Amino acid sequence: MTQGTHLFARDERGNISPLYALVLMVLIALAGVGFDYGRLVAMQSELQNAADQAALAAASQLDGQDDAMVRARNAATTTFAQASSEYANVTRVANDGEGATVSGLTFTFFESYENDAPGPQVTSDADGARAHVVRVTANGRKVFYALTPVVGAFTSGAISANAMAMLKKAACNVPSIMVCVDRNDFPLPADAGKALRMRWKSSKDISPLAPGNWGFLDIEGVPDSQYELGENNNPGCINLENLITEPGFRNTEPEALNTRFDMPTNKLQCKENGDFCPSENTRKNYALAFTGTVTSPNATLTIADVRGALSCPATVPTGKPSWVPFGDIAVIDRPSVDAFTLDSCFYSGTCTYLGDGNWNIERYLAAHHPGVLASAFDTGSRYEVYQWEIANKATRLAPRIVGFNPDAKPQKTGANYRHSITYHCSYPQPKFSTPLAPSATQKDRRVVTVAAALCEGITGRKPVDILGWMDVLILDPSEPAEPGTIHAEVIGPALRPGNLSGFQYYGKDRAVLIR
Amino acid sequence: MRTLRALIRRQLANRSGAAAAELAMLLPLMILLLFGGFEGGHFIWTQHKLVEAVRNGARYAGRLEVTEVCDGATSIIPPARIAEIKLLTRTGQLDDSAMHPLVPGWGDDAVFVSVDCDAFVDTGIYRELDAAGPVATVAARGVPYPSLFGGLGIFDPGIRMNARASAPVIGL
Repeated sequence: MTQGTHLFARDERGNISPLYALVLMVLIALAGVGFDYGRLVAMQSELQNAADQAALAAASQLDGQDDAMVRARNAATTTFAQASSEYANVTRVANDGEGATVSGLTFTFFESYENDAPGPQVTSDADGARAHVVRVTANGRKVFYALTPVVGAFTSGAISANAMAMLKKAACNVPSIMVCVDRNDFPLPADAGKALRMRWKSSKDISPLAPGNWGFLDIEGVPDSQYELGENNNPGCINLENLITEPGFRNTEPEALNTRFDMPTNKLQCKENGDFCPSENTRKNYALAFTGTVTSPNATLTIADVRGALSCPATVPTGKPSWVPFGDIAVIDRPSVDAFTLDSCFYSGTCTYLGDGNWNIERYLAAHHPGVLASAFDTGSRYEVYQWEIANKATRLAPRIVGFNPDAKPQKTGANYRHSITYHCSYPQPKFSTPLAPSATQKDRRVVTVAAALCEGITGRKPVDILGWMDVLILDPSEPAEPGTIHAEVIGPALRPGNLSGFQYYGKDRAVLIR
Repeated sequence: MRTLRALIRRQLANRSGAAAAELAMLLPLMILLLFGGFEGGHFIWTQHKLVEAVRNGARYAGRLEVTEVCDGATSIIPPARIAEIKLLTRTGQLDDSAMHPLVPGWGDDAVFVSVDCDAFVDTGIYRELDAAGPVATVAARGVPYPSLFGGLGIFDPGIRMNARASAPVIGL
């Protein structure tokens, strides 16, 4: 037996052909495994691509609204995973007869993603507001093997790919001001034109938005200048979770805000980058004082007498301006000289922080632009009137005598009285620095971008839930009596300089793949 | 005569060298298998590279600023950006416009970039945009397959390859 085996093993006759025939199957199988494995990898990368794009598309819808999950599924499927869509991602390698489109997508939503693992799953569509992470699985596609069947393997089995994505929120190019709102869909287009009263100090009538309804944001890496209300936006981006509230109010801030109204101080002068520069239209409830004499048959002067006898000088004293608040002027008819007012409901007390858009435009036009009717304006918003005034500065923003301090003892000469008075002129165009017109890189100086935030329960330094960014028109300078109050009008969602869409400019919601 | 017959008989009976002769007979099949395996693998690899390339191109296009590529429903993407996307798709980088393409012989004319405005949805992050979000599509069409052994006639050297990927444009 041993001898026979030994002989057979030593016999080399006719050895190649049968051996090759045996080995051929294995060789084909080996080449086949290499080839078919390559196809598997190629298909996997096609499926992965489809899953990635669908996950990014789905994540773009996870904006914290109730219907986010439904929208996410629909958006990703309709555009990127449906044979009828021209943008459907395809697999060319799968040959399982299910078509080229990678269509079977499964969506799973999670509340968060921490420590390399998704948080609790969100299963109910109604809870879309809680879904922040989406996992998309491109379901099992198969490759029918080309060569491997010689060893009995016919298909790859279902190969799937999955991708997880979420929205990474950052804030860019923002000023460090936030205003608290009580609706999480703020601002809507319908909110444009409504007055916004931003109060720093706590006040019982704006409860529950206590302590006040606006505050500063601490932007990491940007030192507090103490004059943030007068500066242009901060360049650069910051992750939203690093954007925290900054408690405390600084008395330097109203001064800085007022530089937008041609009220520079020795320290806060218009800078080349636009900080502390005035707008083109700086109509405000402040005037400059001049002295003059009026000769009149009346023992008591009226404003019409003063307007008839005197005029506002074209040049004003240089140096630090000494603006006089309208409230300090003895003879003044406020309704006929006031700058923009808030919505009427603020004066009747029915509005808290946000008005209804109804302000007394008729009175404003009658005071400053006699003969112009409110119906000449599309929306009748203060911002529209503001821009209309800028369009013809010479006639619509002319200086005007607003009031005077009468002479206590006018001298009687003949039939007339000689009044030595101090009279006051409003200058709706900047006199103390060069006005800064909006440009491709510079917003109108009276238009300020603020964050609309949900502030419930926020005290001290806390991350804040920013809903969006909006542009507001600052209506008047900060008054010394109420240093923390800013009167503004909502213009709408924030636009970037040059009136371009603010999409992804202030609030950057980047859909990112996690894995 | 006897010697010739003996020679033939001896040759027929001679088993030495049989291996060489059998190898000569089987060699074409082996070469076919070997080179066919190379070529097939290379083909799949090339397809894989194309899929990855268009995916990367689409992802890059998807990271452009929406306001740079679209004005409402009108595409305003600058030609320089298109060229950039094409370069990135073909070569996987942006620094050197003369870089060799990932697939030899893949030229700009075989990369197709389109950014369709107002094509996705107007909800979610696009709420602030006046139109629906754009969709970027990068396609490789008619890329000549760089055959390894095209000259041997195993593989059709004129074969062309395609791949396509679409991504929503979401900005950086």
